[in-house]
Amino acid sequence: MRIAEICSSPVVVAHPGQALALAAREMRRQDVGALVVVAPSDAAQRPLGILTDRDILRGQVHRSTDLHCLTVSDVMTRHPLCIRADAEVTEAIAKLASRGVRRAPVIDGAGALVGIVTLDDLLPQIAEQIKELADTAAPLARRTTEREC
Amino acid sequence: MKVGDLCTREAVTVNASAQVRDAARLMCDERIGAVVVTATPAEAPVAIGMLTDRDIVCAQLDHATDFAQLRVGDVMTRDPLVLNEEMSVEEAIHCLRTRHVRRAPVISSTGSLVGVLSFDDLLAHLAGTLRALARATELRVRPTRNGGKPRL
Repeated sequence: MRIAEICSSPVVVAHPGQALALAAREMRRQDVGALVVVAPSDAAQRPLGILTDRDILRGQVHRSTDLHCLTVSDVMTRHPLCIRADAEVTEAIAKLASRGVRRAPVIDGAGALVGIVTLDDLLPQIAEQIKELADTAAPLARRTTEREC
Repeated sequence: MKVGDLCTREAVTVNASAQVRDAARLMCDERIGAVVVTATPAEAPVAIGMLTDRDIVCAQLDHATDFAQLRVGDVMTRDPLVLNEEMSVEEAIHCLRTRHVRRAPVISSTGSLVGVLSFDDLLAHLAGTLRALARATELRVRPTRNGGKPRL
């Protein structure tokens, strides 16, 4: 299965110069754990960064200041891992794991933003594949056991 | 498999009276998104809440204030889901999904805190099981060099 089939879209975005408190309010209002940061002038919305609750907290701690005094670009994670829309689920999981992140913007071949994918979206797909495999293998395993007996 | 076999034993904890600023620094240092809030009776710590990075950010938005003026007890999620270490993993997954949380404190039969169980712990366990299964299957079907028959 391809990432394009399971990623969330449209994506809630923020701009680098946006007040951090406004971005945080948007995260809560939209009930999302991350915003993708894009330049306001970029129609393709190529990801410049990603902003999570963790980034907001870490930015305040490192800068010893308050979220009301910061902008999105002060705390966002730059150069985020991006996953191509045509990538397979297993490839996406491997990439997320190697970067140690739970979510990534999804882009097309030209780098334009088309969605966002999280580990929570991917796990049910893997679970379903394991279940199908188990359902297929169980009768075979039973027959093998009967022959061996 | 029981919850006690899988959970992370060394839970990072804070006291409800601690400053949110200190809790935030601890979460950054430990690279974690949540800590267990404890009360500490004489014998052993007891989980009374959970504090996540989102709890802190939302509290800052609601109170329009900074870390220095907030205490953990004001911000934490009270009465968190708590898992017993003797509970089965299947039951724990059901509880986590029902409460829509991805982690929960784990307690002993006497109610003292013994660790935290997260979806990440469960995922690591699942990955290990699948890896072992794949290896066993590979051994079973791989032909030997001279006979062409399965090795087992």
